[in-house]
Amino acid sequence: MIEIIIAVLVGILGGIFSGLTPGIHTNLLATLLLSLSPFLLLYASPIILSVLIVSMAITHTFLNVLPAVYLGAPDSEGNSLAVLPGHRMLLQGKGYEAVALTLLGSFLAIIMGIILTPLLLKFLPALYSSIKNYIGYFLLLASIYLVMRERKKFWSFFIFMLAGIFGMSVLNLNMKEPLFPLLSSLFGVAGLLISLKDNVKIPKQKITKIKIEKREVAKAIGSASIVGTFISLMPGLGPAQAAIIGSQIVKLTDKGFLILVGSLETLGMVISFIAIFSIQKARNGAVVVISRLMGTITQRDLILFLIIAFVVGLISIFLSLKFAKIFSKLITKINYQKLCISILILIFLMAFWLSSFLGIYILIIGSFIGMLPSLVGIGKNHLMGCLLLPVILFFLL
Amino acid sequence: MLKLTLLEISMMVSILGTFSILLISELSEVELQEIKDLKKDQLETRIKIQGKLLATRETPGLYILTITDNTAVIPVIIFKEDELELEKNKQFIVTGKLTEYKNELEIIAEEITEND
Repeated sequence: MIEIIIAVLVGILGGIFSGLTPGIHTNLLATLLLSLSPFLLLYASPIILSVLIVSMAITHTFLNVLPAVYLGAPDSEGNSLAVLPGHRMLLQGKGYEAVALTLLGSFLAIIMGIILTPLLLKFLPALYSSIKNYIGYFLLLASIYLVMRERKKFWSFFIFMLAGIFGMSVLNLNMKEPLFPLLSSLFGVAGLLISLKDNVKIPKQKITKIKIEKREVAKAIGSASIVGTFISLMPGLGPAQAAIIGSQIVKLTDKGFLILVGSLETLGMVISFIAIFSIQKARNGAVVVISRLMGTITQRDLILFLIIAFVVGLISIFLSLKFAKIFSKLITKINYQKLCISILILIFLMAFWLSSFLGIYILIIGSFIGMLPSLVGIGKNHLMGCLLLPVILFFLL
Repeated sequence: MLKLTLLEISMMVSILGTFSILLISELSEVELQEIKDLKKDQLETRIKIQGKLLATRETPGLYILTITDNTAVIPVIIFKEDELELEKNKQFIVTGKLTEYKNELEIIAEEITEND
């Protein structure tokens, strides 16, 4: 028991680190843990290490909302369609409320995941075997839909394809950790550079309570549960794409959208634990490592993971709200431009450390590609072509 | 002086950069190696071996193959996507990433083709 508590605490610390640092994904920490496992297994059993990974992964899905809301905000004048709801609220002084809404979504997702578990255990295998031959077509249709709903169809198609070819080439290179420079350039560095270019001024932040109708919450969570289940069966689609698809099923306000994003992220993680048990598919790096450490996963292990997820979720809410209060105070006191520059330097150092000069080269090219959506005024989600295109081709060819 | 907007610069760097990386990835062919020559300084890079399939076992989410080329034996990991239909004792060419697990080298497979 004491071992489990220690594992949970260490996991939470890891999740805080990876969640707060833009560009660091839990997959990276999980892989690091796997390479350390011969040493760690001397002191802890596979199940304890898996508990650590579950705690880390869940904490990460709660805390990563903080950099997403507080960093990389573009200038809100002009192309307001390309501004994410979280950034919009930050620029209105409501960053704290944006974080709180996303956290509410994340937490409801854990409860929803636990309620849905018996149902998923029963129906996921049948659902998966009936759609598995069509995954490539589903992803293709989803991509076409995401491009066609944009007003600037040429640009969204062009950026999707360019990011796709970029992603395929990078993944095809013989290098270490290609995903780090690939994803952090397109989604991290590019946003920070846009903030710098726009010379964004963050207004004074107010700590306000969440004001939202219950109906809106129910709509967001309902939509997240349906879309989240489908999406977690598909490789290549992430929470951001799922959120856009989910918000098409039901009409949502900015606040509802934030709940949707938070819940999809956490629900995706929870369902991936169920998926490895019931359909034997590893859909993210954290689960791959767990599968590797454990060898077999029993129903008892799954129940333990879900309980851990619930407890860690509760702790993460308090942690994230604390951090959000601190961030809200600091963000207007410190120089936003200098903050962006320090994070840029951190990402470049990480890329060099992980994948050397080639990593830096990819980081630079990817940052320019990543700025294109903001410069032409379309959604950043088309950049996910970097993973979607290779995955679609893998399934269809 | 030609004046360029940030959009134009980004477009140029994006397109030229993407094609340069495409070119690098197309030009860098991975050479076939004997299993005993695989070294730890090749960790996390892509390698290619050829050998006979000795055994297959599975965990939830993964298949673990044992492959030998008579110089040494190495485990090959495959993520479960479809049913695995590889016959024992046949020759295969495996391309994948060299990794380490419990102090032993192993390959995370990206491509496996039968070699007659």
